[in-house]
Amino acid sequence: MAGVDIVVIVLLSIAGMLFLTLQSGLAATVVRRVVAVPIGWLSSIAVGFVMSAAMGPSVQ
Amino acid sequence: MLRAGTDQNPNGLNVARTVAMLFLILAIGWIFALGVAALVYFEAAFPTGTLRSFSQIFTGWEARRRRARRYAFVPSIAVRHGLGARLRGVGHDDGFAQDAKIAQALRNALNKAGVAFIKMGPMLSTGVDLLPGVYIRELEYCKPKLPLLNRLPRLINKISEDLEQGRFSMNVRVLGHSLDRSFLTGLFQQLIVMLVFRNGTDD
Repeated sequence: MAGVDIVVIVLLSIAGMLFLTLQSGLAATVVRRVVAVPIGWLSSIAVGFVMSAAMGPSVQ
Repeated sequence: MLRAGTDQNPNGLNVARTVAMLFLILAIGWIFALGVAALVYFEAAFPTGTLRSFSQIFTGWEARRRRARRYAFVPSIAVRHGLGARLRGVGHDDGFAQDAKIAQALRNALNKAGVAFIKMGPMLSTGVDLLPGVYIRELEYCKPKLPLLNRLPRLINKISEDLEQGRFSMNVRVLGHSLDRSFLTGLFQQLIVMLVFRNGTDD
């Protein structure tokens, strides 16, 4: 059971990272097109993380 | 929303699946829009590339020190020439004499602050509808105090006159040019341009 738990945690982590990357990239692309300036990856990931954290409870 | 739309929320909200889905889309849309707005705000407040990287904390101190010295030097010139009270905004206005004094102090300060500031004097003096006449008159006379360069035209005149009057003969050719008044004047102009663009100061 412990092995399965670890696999689930790893898979969830990978899915979370992928979702975070996708979300950050999408937000950065939209902002880059709107304000027409390059957007830093650090701020994109920070905002993407907050967005992901807010979406989790909303979806549940 | 998933619990509300799938009857798994007995003590809370229970809605049809379609409604739950619409609310979910709305919530995701709002979160995304707020995230984009936050990103735009961060970009406006701290534009990318303007923040120092970690390595820059340890490097560039010499340049920073030089810049800080220059920033401190310019106001100190203004203060030395009697513009300190005006910079602090506590100067009192008591008429034309005071204006003339300040205008003169401003001209002296600009003259002392270096070539870039000296150029501002004549430029400001063209704004006759913006500045009082006393300032216009003073700023028209902004000119660099360059002891060597101020003496050069006289020196060139002297050499040219000596050459023209045959006080001494000099059969010299520099890069194919004969040494005469026009060549010396051209050389002088080149020298000024070189000094101004290389140094930026009157040192």
